[in-house]
Amino acid sequence: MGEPATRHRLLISLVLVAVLALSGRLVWVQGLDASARAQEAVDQRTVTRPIHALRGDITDRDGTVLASSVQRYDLWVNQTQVDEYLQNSKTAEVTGVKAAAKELAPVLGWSVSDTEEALTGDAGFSYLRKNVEPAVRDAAIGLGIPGIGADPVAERIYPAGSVAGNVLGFVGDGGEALAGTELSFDDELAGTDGKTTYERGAQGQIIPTGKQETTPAVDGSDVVLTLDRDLQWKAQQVIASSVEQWGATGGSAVAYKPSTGEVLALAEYPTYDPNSPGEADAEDLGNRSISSVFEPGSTGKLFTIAAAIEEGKVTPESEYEVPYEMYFEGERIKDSHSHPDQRLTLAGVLKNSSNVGTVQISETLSPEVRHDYLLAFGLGQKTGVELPGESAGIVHPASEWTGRTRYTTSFGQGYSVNALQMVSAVGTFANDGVRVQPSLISGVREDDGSVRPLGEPERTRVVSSETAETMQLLMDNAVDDETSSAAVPGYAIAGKTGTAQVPDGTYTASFIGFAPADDPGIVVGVFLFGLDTFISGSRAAAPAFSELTTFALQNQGIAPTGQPGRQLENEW
Amino acid sequence: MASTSAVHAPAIRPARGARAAQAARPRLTVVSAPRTGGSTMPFTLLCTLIVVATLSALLYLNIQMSDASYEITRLQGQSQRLTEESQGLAETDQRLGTPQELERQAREIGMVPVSDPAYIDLDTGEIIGETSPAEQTGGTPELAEVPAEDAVPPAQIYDEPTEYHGMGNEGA
Repeated sequence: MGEPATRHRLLISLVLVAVLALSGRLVWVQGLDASARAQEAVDQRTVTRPIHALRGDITDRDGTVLASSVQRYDLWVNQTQVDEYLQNSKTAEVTGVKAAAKELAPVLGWSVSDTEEALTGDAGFSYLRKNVEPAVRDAAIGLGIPGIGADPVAERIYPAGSVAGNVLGFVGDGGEALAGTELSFDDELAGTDGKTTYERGAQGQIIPTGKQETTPAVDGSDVVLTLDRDLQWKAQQVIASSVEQWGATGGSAVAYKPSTGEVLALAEYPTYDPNSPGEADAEDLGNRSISSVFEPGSTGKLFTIAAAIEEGKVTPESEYEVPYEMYFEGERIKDSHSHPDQRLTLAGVLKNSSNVGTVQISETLSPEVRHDYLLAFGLGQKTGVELPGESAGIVHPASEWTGRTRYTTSFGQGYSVNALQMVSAVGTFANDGVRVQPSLISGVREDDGSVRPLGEPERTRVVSSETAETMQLLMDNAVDDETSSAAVPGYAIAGKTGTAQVPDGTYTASFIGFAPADDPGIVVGVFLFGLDTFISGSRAAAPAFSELTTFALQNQGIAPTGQPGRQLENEW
Repeated sequence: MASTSAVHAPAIRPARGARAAQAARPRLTVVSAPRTGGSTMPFTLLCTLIVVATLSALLYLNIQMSDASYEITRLQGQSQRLTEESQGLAETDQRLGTPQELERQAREIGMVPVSDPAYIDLDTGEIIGETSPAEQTGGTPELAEVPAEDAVPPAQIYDEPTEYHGMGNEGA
């Protein structure tokens, strides 16, 4: 090794080997493996981001937003990094977690000690606060505290809270539809996610010469309900007051436009706030007005009388001798309250809500005919309203109306209905004898702002115009506009009370009516479930009907016709 | 030249033809040598200019595109901020417009619900119904007095306890 020549040769050889190795590598990278390397680089700077489709809004009939999707952020913290805050600052007196907590507390709206607690620990990831508004997130991130970050999330909000909550339904944490309109119209509301792929520079900017590909997201459509938000709110207030007043276990209130079948309000109590459905009882999450079936009681007398009039068997002036109780083929039928023998016209039978009189009227018809009329009024079958969880109720075939059932069915016992069915059935009288299938959805809002209807409601003629007119008269006569607790100042009201016992021993009280009596614009039904004792519909449900109808008539701009309520001869 | 001689002597052998061509030999003149003393500088400059111009244009375009790209990123950020701001305002609007809030505010300034409205028939000028100043009363006595905020409480998104009251720009 001592010879300079040897050392020289050795050095040369080493250099040559090195050059050879480098050249080989160069040829490999540049020549043989070039495309793979280039692809790797492209892959490294190419990012694909999902573009989330925005879930459509749900609005009321006037376009007021009832459900909406908004951008929120989940704030999180890496607790191990927070201590670095302001460590390099020469002026800061306090540093680390204490300083960070002091800065962050007002942003989060927390006390400094709470904030300090949340920032202290060894957790690499823990949520500080979920679902904060973008302004809060900007402020929190703007503080530059190490270890604090935010993830965007889409949040579904229901600005009016429990107003129409039962109809709207709700979505889960992952945005999946779970109940109500959210569920039944998920296809329209959901939209389709898109994505964008681009090459990204060091600061996140798009490299202009790079490859770009974007599949735009298709946002969900807005669904327009037939509900009126203000009327819905009033209905919920009224039914809440009623239920509390009488100690019922629950209640429903329905406002319905008989000419179009539009449901203007569908209120339940107890209800829930779809912003936090987890806090409510599971049984309050549905819609009692369509899921809860009950025997209608005296409101069912309307269908018996309408059928008898339509069949030409009776008139409002038909005369009946009505004792307190009476036997029909051995079955004892009695009225709700003891009274001396009465001589009532048909109008009087309805006004006094006499079971004995109604059975006499029903006996002019065969059970088959009455059964067919009940079906024609839409009972015993689903209304077809666009909500999950509807229960059709039960109307047994006439052949099974044996013994007592043959008579009780004439006054609304022995078959079961839901509240919306009853309101739409009574709406038949308010709409010239034509029953319109109730509907909760106006349609889907198009890009140009117009509303695309999802089909015409089914219309069924049940009774003739003349019969409908007569029924309006009879129901007008049944409500005394001076003294009735269902009265609405300035308007003639037509209506019928109902009370029925439920097999579990409780009672269901109801009042269904329309106004103005001679030119009906709106049908309102109030139903109270689970009353401990017999409380008549006129005591329990009529005041709520009055309160709600007063508001509904103003809300819908329905003027009085100026005609006073009509009176008929009730006795003979 | 050959064709000219061919016209003059069509039957003559080619050997003679060659002599004839010799006879008709064109005159040669000395042309001046091409000027070689001129500079190649302008051409080089031109080429350089073209190259420089092309490169500059390319560079300029690239800078423009990068600028545009940064601008797009900035505008996207701005758009995002404005969207969020607009969303925030829309949410405030929605909250203030809820029936619960409207009723509360209306009652606060002493308004009461109309119990007996009157209508004017615009065709006849006739007044339908009788109205009178509404009284400062609660609801119907037959209905329980359920406080409005219990019967239909405000949405639970708005009544979180210690809600944030800042302007969103603290420390920004």
